[in-house]
Parts: sequence; structure tokens; C-alpha cells
Amino acid sequence: MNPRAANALLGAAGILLTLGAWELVARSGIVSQSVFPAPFHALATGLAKVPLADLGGHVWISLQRIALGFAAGALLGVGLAVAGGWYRTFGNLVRPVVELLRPIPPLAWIPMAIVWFGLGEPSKVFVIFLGAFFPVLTNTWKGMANIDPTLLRAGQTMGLSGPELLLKVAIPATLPDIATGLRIGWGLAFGVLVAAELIAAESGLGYLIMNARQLGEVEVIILGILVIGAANLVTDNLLARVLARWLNRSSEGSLP
Amino acid sequence: MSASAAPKIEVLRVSKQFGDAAAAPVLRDVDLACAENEFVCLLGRSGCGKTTLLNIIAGLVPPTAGEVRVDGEVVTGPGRGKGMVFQQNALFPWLSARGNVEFGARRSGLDKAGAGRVADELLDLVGLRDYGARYPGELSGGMQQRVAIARALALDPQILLMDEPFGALDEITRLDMQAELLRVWSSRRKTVVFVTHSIMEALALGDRIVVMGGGSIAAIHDVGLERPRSRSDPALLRLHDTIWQGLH
Repeated sequence: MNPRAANALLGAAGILLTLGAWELVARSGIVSQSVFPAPFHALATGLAKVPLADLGGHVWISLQRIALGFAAGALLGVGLAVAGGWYRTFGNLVRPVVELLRPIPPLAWIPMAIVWFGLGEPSKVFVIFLGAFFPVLTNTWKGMANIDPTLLRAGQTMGLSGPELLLKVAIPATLPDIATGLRIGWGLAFGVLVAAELIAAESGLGYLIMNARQLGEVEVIILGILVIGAANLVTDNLLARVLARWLNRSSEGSLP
Repeated sequence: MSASAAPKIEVLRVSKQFGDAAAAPVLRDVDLACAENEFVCLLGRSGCGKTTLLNIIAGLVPPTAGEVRVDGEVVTGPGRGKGMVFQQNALFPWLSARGNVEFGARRSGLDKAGAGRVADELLDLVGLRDYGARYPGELSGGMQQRVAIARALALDPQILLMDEPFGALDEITRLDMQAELLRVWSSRRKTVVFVTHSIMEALALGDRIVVMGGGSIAAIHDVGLERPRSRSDPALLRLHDTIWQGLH
């Protein structure tokens, strides 16, 4: 068996072991089933209460919000960091503002988001945007600051300067850091999803979970949580593959 | 090369000072002329100013005083007429070996097809015909420097500036690369300025050896021996001793 397949098998075994342990604890009667239901029971009951088509709808709307917020955060994050890293004066102007805003948790912006954007889609997308924006910005900025000067000098000796040097040398040299930022940003966009969908939502995985809490449907909460985890896992893997291909560096993009 | 020909590169009373005026200058009133297709080695200890002088000739660093002329024109910045090979890690890691050489060829104004042809030719010339698809991280240090030389040649420069290009290689690879460079140079004549801190390397390669110390030129030696040179040639060893003693 090749090592990749062995690792995948080990990973699957780990998940099954965890579910098995959970099932055992739940059935042993140590904790009440209404607080901590067994996983297979919870999934079955949850799916009975929320049909697959409905669940799919929630996943879809949540993914749309994440994708929108992430895209906006990624574009602005990369754009601002590239400009700030390349044009030093602009960078020194912007950096303190960024450092001031960066430590604020995206969730603290929710009231502001409601004031600015009301209760509709834009406020949810805005909170997700904040989750994605800062990691993309800081990683890209770090990458721009750490470009090996020899690469820039090599570009200059080939007659490159100004925006051409930025486009053909500096940005490609920063791509690995941009990719890291994008993956962290995607994870954080998922992280703030539930909070974003607390804002008067009537759909989405966050809404599903919070609504189930009010109805006392523990099984649906568990179902929703597991679906968020699975959706993040699948999409993060997809993103990693796309980025590896995009980096086009066979030493790093070790995919078949 | 006739004696009356105008020099290809002229360094005229070049001085360089980093930081404030109180700091000791890195270069002090350096004068040097290199003839067309001449192979000149700048030799000296670390910190003697040889790399700074090379960077000034390249146009990467402006001199504090004096000027550098190429074909009689004052150098104001880096450009395609002057290819440069750095000590290490100057290849673009996001491009394959062939992609790196192609990049240089595109910069010399060739279209995609033409650049591809030139890249293949040059990879062949440096003995890496079968490694074009590899990325820099997948090549040994010696191979990376071959690619770097090919990329510099792809610009079709008249001048090749080399900043300790074999300084990070092991001794055996370094000797191979010296022979390799001479072979390449014999088929693509260029004016070469080659920075090194190895006396033997300078003796193996240079038409002239410019010995630098304390920011100025301490001595200039004409080697005047046929290539390839034997490292046990008595004339070469005598010159080695002369240079060695001059450095103390």
C-alpha cells in the first residue's frame, strides 16, 4: 500500500474510533441522551427533522455567504498588502490603522454591521469578510516584506523596474504566503459563519443550529455542527488543491 | 582585440560610501578599464569592495562619486546589456529551469516561440537539456548556477557580471563549473567581470586579475597563459605566490 492510501486509511480509522467512543459513552447512560445523544441516533433523528433537501439548502446559502465574504476579503486583503508592501510610504500610512483594527474580533463588529447594513445579506457577508480579510492581509504583507532581495536584483538586471518588477517578480515571489493567508482566511470565514448567521437569518447552517437550540432539538444541533465541520474540511481540501496547482511549483504542489 | 580599441567598460574614479560621510568609504577612487571580450577577475578578501564595485558596474548601486561607462555611455541603472549571475538563490523558484531561461530570453525582446528556442539552445549549452522541466528547488547547487548562467546569456548581453557564482558550491563542483564556464565563454564571447575570493579560481579563469584591498585596486596582473590552464603550471604557481604575498 502506498503511504498516501495508508494515511487516508489511518485518518478514516481515527474518525470511526472517535464516533465509536462517543457512541459508547452515550449508550452507557453516564450522561442523558437528551443532552448528549449517540452520534448515529443523532444524525438519523436530525435528518428526520431536517430533510436532506432542506439541509442542502442551508449548506448552499451558507457557502454562498462564505464565498462572497471570502472573495471580498481576499481581494481587498491581497490588494492592500501588495500595495502597502511595495509602496513604502503608503504602507507606513496604512499599517497603524490595520494594526489597530486587526485584534478586534469580527463578532464585535456585528452591532456595527447591523447599523450599517441592516439585517439583510450584506451584514452577514460583512462579518465573514472581516474574518477572511485580516489573515490574508497580514500573510501577504509578511510575504511582500520578506522577498529575497536577490530575486528583485535579478529582475532588475533583466531590465525590469517599477510596476513590471512588482508584477513579474515580487507578486510571484509572494504567492506562497498569499496561499497561506487564503487558507487561514477561508478557515476563519467558516469560523465566524454561525455568528454571522445569528443576525436575523432565516437560512444557513448557523441559523439551523441556533433555531434548533430554541426548539430544544439537540440532534439537529449536532447534525448542523458536523455538517459545518465536514463542509469546511471538504472545501479547505479543494482550496488547498487549487492553490497547489496555482503555485505551479512541483516541489510544493506534490499532487498527482 | 586590438590595443587601440576603446574599452568596453570604464570605471572612472569611482568612490562609494554607505551611510554618513564619517564612515570609511567602501571604494576609493577606483579606475579600471576592461577590453571587449576580456575576462577580468576581481579578487580580494570579504569586505574589500569587490562586490560593491560589481554592483556599481551593473547599475544596481549608484556610486557616491565618479562614473562607469559602457561603450562610452554612462551607466545609470541595470539593464539588459549587462547580464548578471549571483552567488545563489537568484533563480525564480516559481518557474522551471526552462521557464527561468525563457524569462531572460523574453526580456531580450524575443516572442514566445523564439524565447523557447533560445532557452532550449542555452540549456543544451550548459548541459541541462534533460532538466528543463525541473524547478530550481529540485536542482543541485551546481545545476542551479548553470541555469543562472543560461538565464543571463538569454538576455544576449555584451557583458556578463558574475558575483562569486561558484562561491557556495563544493570544491569539486566548483572546479567543474570553472571548466564549464570557460567552455561556454569560448562559444559565446562576452566581456566578463568575475568576482571571487579564490586566488586559484581567478588564475584558472581570468585574462587579468584585479586584486582589491581596502576599497581600492592593490595590483593588476596579466595572466597571459593559454587555457585550459594546468593548476601545476610553474608560471601559474609563481603568479599565485606573487598575488598571495601582495595580499599581505
